[in-house]
This record gives sequence, structure tokens and C-alpha cells, in this order.
Amino acid sequence: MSSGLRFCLVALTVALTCLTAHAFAKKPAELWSFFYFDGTAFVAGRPAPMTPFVALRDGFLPVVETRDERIREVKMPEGTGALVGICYVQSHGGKLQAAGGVDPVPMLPVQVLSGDKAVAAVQSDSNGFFIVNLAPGTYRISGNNRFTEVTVVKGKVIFAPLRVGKRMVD
Amino acid sequence: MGKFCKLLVALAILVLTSSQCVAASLDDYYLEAFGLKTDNILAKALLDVQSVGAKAVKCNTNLRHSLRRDWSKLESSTQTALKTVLETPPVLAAPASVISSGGHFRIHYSTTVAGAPDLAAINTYTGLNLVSYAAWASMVGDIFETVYNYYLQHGYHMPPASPYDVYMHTPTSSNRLVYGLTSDLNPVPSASYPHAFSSFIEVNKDFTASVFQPTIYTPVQNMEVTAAHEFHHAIQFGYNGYFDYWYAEMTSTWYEDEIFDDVNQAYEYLESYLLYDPQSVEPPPVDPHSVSLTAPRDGATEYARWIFNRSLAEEHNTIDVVRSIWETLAGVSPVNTSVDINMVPVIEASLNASPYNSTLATDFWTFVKKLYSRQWTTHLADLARISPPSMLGNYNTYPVPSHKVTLPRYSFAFYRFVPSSQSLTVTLSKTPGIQAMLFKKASGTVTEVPLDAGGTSYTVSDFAAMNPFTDEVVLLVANTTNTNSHEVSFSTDGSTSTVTDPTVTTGGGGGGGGGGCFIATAAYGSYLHPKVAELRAFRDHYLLTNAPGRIFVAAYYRLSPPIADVIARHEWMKSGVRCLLLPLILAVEHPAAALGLLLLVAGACLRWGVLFLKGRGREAAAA
Repeated sequence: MSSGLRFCLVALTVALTCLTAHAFAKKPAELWSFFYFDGTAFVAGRPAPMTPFVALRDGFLPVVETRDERIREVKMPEGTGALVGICYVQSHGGKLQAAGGVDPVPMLPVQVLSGDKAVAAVQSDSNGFFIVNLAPGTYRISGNNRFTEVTVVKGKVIFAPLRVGKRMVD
Repeated sequence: MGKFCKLLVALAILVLTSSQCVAASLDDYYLEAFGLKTDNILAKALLDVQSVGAKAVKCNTNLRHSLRRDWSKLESSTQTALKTVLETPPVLAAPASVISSGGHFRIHYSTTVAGAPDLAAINTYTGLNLVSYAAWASMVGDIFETVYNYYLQHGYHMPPASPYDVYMHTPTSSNRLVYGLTSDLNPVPSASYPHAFSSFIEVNKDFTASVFQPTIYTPVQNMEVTAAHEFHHAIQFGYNGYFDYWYAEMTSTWYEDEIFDDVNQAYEYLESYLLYDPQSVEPPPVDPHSVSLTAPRDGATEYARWIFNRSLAEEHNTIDVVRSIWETLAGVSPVNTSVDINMVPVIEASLNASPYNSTLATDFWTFVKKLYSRQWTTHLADLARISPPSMLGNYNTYPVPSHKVTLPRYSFAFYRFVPSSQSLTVTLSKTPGIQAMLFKKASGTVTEVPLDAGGTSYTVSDFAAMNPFTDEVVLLVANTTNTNSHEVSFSTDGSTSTVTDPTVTTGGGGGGGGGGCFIATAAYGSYLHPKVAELRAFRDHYLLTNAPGRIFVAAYYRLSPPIADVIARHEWMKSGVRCLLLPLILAVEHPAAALGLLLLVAGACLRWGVLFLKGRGREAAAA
């Protein structure tokens, strides 16, 4: 077998591999990535059943759901990004037994500020989550007199866990 | 309409109406339980007042947890009405309040039978003759005033909001009773410090439940130490709401005994730290030898580590040294509002400053030596309440071969040598973060054994003359740095094990893993992608735990960034690399299957090789 033909065969194999992988990547089941809030940060994976999770997909707004079949695709507006966050109260301590943990805070007003100017106002949902679609830029997310700073990038989704309170349990 | 259709319609109506009823009853249940139901006045008026009260009291404890669980099942109007319940201080049934004598506290309590303090039980345990809830609330107010005046006299800045709200009820966590809670929900901004928050306190209404040991600590004593503890948390929120939890508990528990020296409940916690049993800790600690002074939570030892503050106060001849740490924290900004400020550098900065001019390493070393020498200079009447530290090893047969110990940051370990009929030489090999000391205890007197001339061993020449029943030699080793995994080995036969400098960099606790897998991150588009997370976990658990793995990771991190950069810029390459990574990820996810497949492929290759060689042999023979 000539070296030219051998090179062509290798190139063809690599191309087929890439195409297969690309096609595989486009399967609906693989389109969404799943994350959940573990008490301190959003981590990849699935939480316990019926616990809210965040589903992400390139070019679409994030979805907070408890069941896969309820995920609805909403295109992210051109030239924007999105953030998904959760408002929560963190507990520490326990003299008699460990009492640490996290409680989501539902229906809490959350403001998005660019400099000192409010650019969006949302309210956390019944599980404490909130989603905001924004133009690229740096923002301060405010809830219950606490702030966190985030940078929104075009076409991307970023996470913004917002601790809005702390409880010392003894 | 046929019979079947009618039946279906009837069933549908039944299901719909029953679901509506369930929804309505759940909404009504919570609204009524929290005392927020405003309709149906006639029915409400007919209800027995005490039974409504009993429900409402429950709402402030377990019911709030149930409400969070059922939140999404409620109608939006109900959610709006109940929203405040989850955020604000407890809503007491038939509430009443008194202002403390000094005017600094508003003590809230319930006047329903189920929600009010149990006066009869309080009187039984205390010998008091309280005749009204208001009298008990006033007494609680006086206790809080005592605490307030103590902190004020010791230079503390009082928390925002006056009068400060204290709620007496039955606070719980995970359906278990707790002494008290301090929360900074709905905070009032403070003009004093940039990150200060107002707060409120909840305490048990009477401390008469058996879990509070009312026969040992009277309701008044329990209230005293809880007031001292919780109000210091309020002060902590008033300095900087982003305080690190472990030092907050260490400080609050220490003050329990500073303000109410006669109660001595704080000493009960000491065993969890001084007699540390790693087996009892859930989840098991990464390093089983000792607990770190700065551990976030380790079997509730943070309540026991208050003893370090006593050592600090004694070493610097003033309890103000602890206040200075909180004052230093007041000016520190959090990196991120979801993460607390690491207290180690804050403590370090306070100790470095005048008039203390010390370091955390120096003061920690003084502290751990004092644990054995017991040269405490304050609270001497309570000295017997401080347990001697546990020995991680007891040796009575010699020689002792080399034993290696790995210690987390700011931790210690003790080893006892029982006297025997020979001299004793303890040889050490240690990394720079370890400090060591050999103590000799003879006839009840503790002395420090000097290092031998070489600087690597201690000799106790009169070891044979010591009484094996009353005397002992004790080795103390401590990691006095902010870096985990410093190592020390010791023996009595002159041998030493190899000790390795820790590779993990400093940090304040928590946090895991290093950087990401660059190529996989580029291929999958995100550091957070589940497949990348799996590879990261594989790296942390299987590669970084051994030398060859660490070498591989180091090489990978040197070589991969430029490759990852190219992949990240070409979409078509990402698909290809994802495909190439697939076998690796499958191997990580299903190692047994991967091994089987590998063996199958190896077998097939071997067979093919044998056949190939045989064929070549036959060709050669034919030729």
C-alpha cells in the first residue's frame, strides 16, 4: 500500500470519527447539562429525585426544573448571556447535634445592578432560584442587603449562588 | 352520552374537586397555623383559643421546615402571605414582650399554654417562685443585660438595632431542640462597619427539657450561658457578617465561662477535642491523626476549641487579645459574599500587631505544650475539669520501631513511653512545619527534656529509674503551620522513616482539587461539565495520591495548555477530542468493564501476534 493511500485512509478515519462524535454530541439526550446546588456551589450532576436542578444548553436560557420532561427550550436572545442563581440561608453549628445546612429563600426580591444603576429586578421562585437574561458585562446581584459580583458573557450561562443570610445554631 | 362517558366525567370531576380540596386545605392549614388566616371569622371565633395557640407554637419550630418542603404546592396568594414567615423572626402565638431593665433588649414570649415557658418546671429546678410569664421574661432580660454590660465593659462594639430582639420559644434544627439561634435575616444596615449586620436571637423558652440537663444546669444557668454565647454571635454579626464559623463558636463558647464562671458547661465540650476520636467523626476526617484548630467542623470540636482562647488570654495577660481579633475582622472584605472570611490570616494579623507581637504558630505551640504541662494560670479552681489530652500511642515494650505521623494544619499528637529497665532515646525526623517536645513526668513534676547535641534526638538517661506506674515520658508533636500534611517520624531504635514536605499549598480550610483538566475542559466547553468533573475526581483520587500519578499530572499540566488552547478555538476539534476521550471516560466510569475489555483486546492481540509469528515461521520454512 502506498504511503499516500495510507495517509488518505488515516485522514478518512479521523474525519469519520469526528463526524460520528459530532453527530453523537447532537443527540437530544446529550444536549442538556445538569447541575444542582450542593449547599455552597453549583456542581455538575443530578440531585436527589424531585430536587430542583439546573439544565443548561448552549444557546438556550437555563431551566430550573425537578423533572426532565418539563424542560422547555427558550432561545437565548442574540448577543446576550444569562445567569442562574439561588437565594439561600446558611446554617452552622449544633451543640447537641450537627445542624449545618442550607435553606432556600423563596420569593425574595433580587436586583441586578450595573454600577449603581438597577438593570433588572426579579424574584426568587418557590425553590429560591432565579434566572436573568442580560447583556454581556459585569453586574452586582443584590438580595437582602447582600451582594455578589458576576460577569456575564455572550452566549454563556453563569451561576450566582447568593447567600442572603446566616444562622448560628447552638 | 353512554354510561362509560358519564362515569369518566364523574371521575374527572371527583378528581378535580378533591385535588382542589387538598390544595385548599393545605393552604388553610399553613395560614391558620401561622395565624395569618383572615377569612371565615365566625369559624375562627368558634375555635378554642388554646388549640389555635398550640398549632401556632408548633409553626415556629417544625412547621417552618414543613412549609419549606410544601412551598411549591401552595397557591401563589398563600405563598405571598406566608413569605414573611420564612424570612422574619418567629411569629409567636398570643405574643407578649417585656423590655429589659437596662432597655437594651426586647424579650418576646408566647402566652399560650403550649407556647409559654413552663413556670412550674422552672420553679422546681431553680427554687424560684415565679408567678407570671412576664416575671420570667424580665429575669431573662436581666441575664441579657448582664451579658451586655460585660461585653460593653470589655470594649466590644454593640450590635446594631436597639432594643435587640430575643425570642423565647422552642427553636429546633432538624426536629431536635437547640439551645439558641442567632440569625441575620432581614438585616438592618450598620453605619459602624462596612460588612456588619443586625441580627436577632431565639432561645429555648425555659430549658426544662431533659436534653438540657436541668438537674445539672438549672434553667437560669442554661439561659445565662446561652445568652453569653448567642449575644457574642450578635456582636460578631455586628463586626462582620462574613466571620468564619469555627472561630465564632470558639469565641462564643469561651465567653460562656468567662462571664458565668460558676456554670462550667463549656468544660463538657472539651473531651471532643482533647480526647479526640477520629472514628467517631462523621464523615471521617481525611487525616485521622488529629483535629485541626482551624477545622470548619469536625465532630463539634469547634465548641471545645474555646480552650485555645484561654491560652491566648493567659499568654498575653489580657482577654482583650480575643476582642482584637474581631476588631481586625471588622475591616476585612469578603472575596465573595457566599464565602466566609478565612479567620487564620485575621488571627495572625492580630497576634502580629502590637502589643502582642506574636504569631499564631508561637501561641499555638505554647497552647499545646500547656495541654500536657497544665501550667494554666487562670480559673485554677476548674483545672480538674480540663481533661489531659489523649495519647495516640502508648509504648511499654522497646525498642519502638519508626512510626510516621501526618498532621493537618495547627494540630497536635501525644505519645506516651512507659518507663522500662533501660535508657530511652527518641529519634525524630520531621518536615519543617513540625515542632516537637519530649516531656518527662516524675513524681508529678513535668519537665522538658532538652534536645541532644545532634538536634534530632532526646535522651532520658534515668528512664530505668522512673516509676512505671506513676511516671511517664511523653512526646508531643505539632504542626504549627497553616499547611496540611506535615510529617514526623519517631523511634526509640534510632531508625527514621522518610518524611516528605507537604505539596498542598496553604489555605483556610475546605476547597478541593486544583485546576481543571485543560484538554477535557476545552473539548467539553466547560470546567463544570459532568465528564470533566469525573476526570477531575479521577485525578484527585487516583493520580494525586501516588508519586507516579503526581509526576504524570505535573507533566500534563506543563504540556496541555497550548494544546487545549488550539482545541478551544476549533469546534470540529472538540468533537474529535471528545471522541478520543470517550474510552478514557468510560474507563473512569466503569473501571471493571474497561479492565475486562482491555484484557479482551490484549488477548486478541496476543492471539493475532502468535498467529502472525506462526505464519511468518511457516513462510520462512516454506521458503
